Amino acid sequence: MSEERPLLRLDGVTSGYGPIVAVRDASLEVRSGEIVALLGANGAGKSTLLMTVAGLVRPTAGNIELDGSRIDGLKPEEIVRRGVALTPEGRGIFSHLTVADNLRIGAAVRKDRAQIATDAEEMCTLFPILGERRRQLAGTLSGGEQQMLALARSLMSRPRLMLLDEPSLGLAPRIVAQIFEMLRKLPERGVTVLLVEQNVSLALDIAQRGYVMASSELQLSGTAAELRSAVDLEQVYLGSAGDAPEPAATGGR
Amino acid sequence: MAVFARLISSRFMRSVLRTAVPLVVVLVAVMVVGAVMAPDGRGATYRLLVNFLITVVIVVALQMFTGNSGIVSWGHAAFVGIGAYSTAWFSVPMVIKEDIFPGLPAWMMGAEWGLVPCLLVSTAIGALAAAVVGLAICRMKETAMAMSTLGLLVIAHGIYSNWEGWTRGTEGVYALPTNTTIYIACGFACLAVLLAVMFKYSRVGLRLQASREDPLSAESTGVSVVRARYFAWVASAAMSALAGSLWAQFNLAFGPAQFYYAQVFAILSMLVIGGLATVSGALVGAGITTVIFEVLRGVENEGNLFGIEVPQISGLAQMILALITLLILIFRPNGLLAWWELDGWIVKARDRFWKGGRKLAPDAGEKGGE
Repeated sequence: MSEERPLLRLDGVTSGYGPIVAVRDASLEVRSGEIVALLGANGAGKSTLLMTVAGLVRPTAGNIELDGSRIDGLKPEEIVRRGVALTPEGRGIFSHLTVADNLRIGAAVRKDRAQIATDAEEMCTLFPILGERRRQLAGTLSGGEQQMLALARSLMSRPRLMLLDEPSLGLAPRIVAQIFEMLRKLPERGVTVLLVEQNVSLALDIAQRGYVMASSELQLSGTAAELRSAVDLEQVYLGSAGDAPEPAATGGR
Repeated sequence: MAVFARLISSRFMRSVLRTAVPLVVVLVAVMVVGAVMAPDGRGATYRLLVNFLITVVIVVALQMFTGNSGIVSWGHAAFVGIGAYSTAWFSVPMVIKEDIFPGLPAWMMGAEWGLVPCLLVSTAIGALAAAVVGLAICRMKETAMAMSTLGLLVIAHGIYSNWEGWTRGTEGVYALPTNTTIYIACGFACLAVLLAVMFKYSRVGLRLQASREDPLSAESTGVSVVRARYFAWVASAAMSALAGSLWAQFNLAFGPAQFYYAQVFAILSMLVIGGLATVSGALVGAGITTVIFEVLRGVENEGNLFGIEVPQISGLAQMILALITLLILIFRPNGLLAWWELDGWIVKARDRFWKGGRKLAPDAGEKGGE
């Protein structure tokens, strides 16, 4: 590990819903310019970890630091303002608003109106299909287009760190390849990525490092190459790496 | 002038006007019919039309909150009541006030204000009440919020029925001045429509709609859901109180029963029938419901359906309205207008007419699978 200060640092974070602990004593680092994969079976706590960083779930213990300053306990909007954008699982687009309005809401924490309009234009160049459909209701888009919209909406807040929750979920392989190609280029735009993904090989294709989560705990970490060759990786996914494997759930929390 | 021209040419104002103008035209048409049919300002038709225009203000006010936030409010009739009672406190002649409102302080006892001051004070009191209760209500989860608005309605009713010195309890209030004419009612209905459309297209309105679609996602995008809800709650309650004041200055006498379940249900039905998500839906729903109610009331009270003699059935209007609301919820759950304002539908119809086929306008595509 290098000496430079990580962009995101979790130290002993425990979090969950009421009495249910979904993340236990998690410590991880994401350095500026990296793509870091967070792997694990359904129900391992990956989504909760992302939501905790985004401020949607309050940690019960531990510190979360963004670029050296604590962000745990802040309101979600304040965390977005400091440069963290979560693209939630299932995309969470606003179905009955137009594509253009979805993008405008992505810039909710910004005040520079003129620049927001320019950025929206840029998103339409980055994802031409969004430009073509800007006046349509977002719910009329296909799954892949909705995922692109969700990414574009996150980018509209001009994040330093993007938290991506399963961007490949339910999409055709060709679309997934297209989206991952775009994700690979995010660091060039100055965006660091923490990526939760079920598709291990895809995730490790674009990530430099990764963590493996099972039964609410981070069990393994290493470079993409190390993780790829880890023998028990499949077992992690089958749920046998932890003591108390949780049944596969669609919620992914 | 230059500022005004810039405002009109801005994209925001263009979309506001595109949506509001057809609705204003409808409202003005209603006013013209009323003014022509009853130039003396009397008669059943005149009363019906003025009450319709005031109802539009009430339904549009509810749309501002419920339509954009997706949270049903059962409590807005309480704010209509606040507007009505506030108006009574400041407008009923002093001699009568000493009799019916013995609890009023001396300075209020002497107030015999006209239309505008009464509207202003009622709106302010309504906004203040909403600002206070909203502090608690708007922090709740969606279902808890809807439930607590129902609690609010019951509490308000309890106060109106029992605060003898200020409300005369269940006996009710009388002797308000007749200040609301069809022109005034129409003016405020147009203003309400304009404000609601502006709100819908504004930054706050847009954020509130995002929270309606997906509250968690809205929050993770940086929307302060609580703040957006609070703003809409106070604005919509203020508009409801304004409507209550207009209504009181037209109907002259009222009691606590006029701000309770039956009224709440009627207002919500109008919104559900027309479509929650649009201001146009509020107007269309109010229109349709008013007509249905009027026809059925003929059956209920006189045994008369379009001049044909039919058996009198009491409670018929309420029952049929409930039935229609149910049918709409089953077969067209987003209401008659669903997600498009009247101008969107006009564009769609025009395109369909000119192109002959079923081709839709680029910005009027049907919503895809849920």
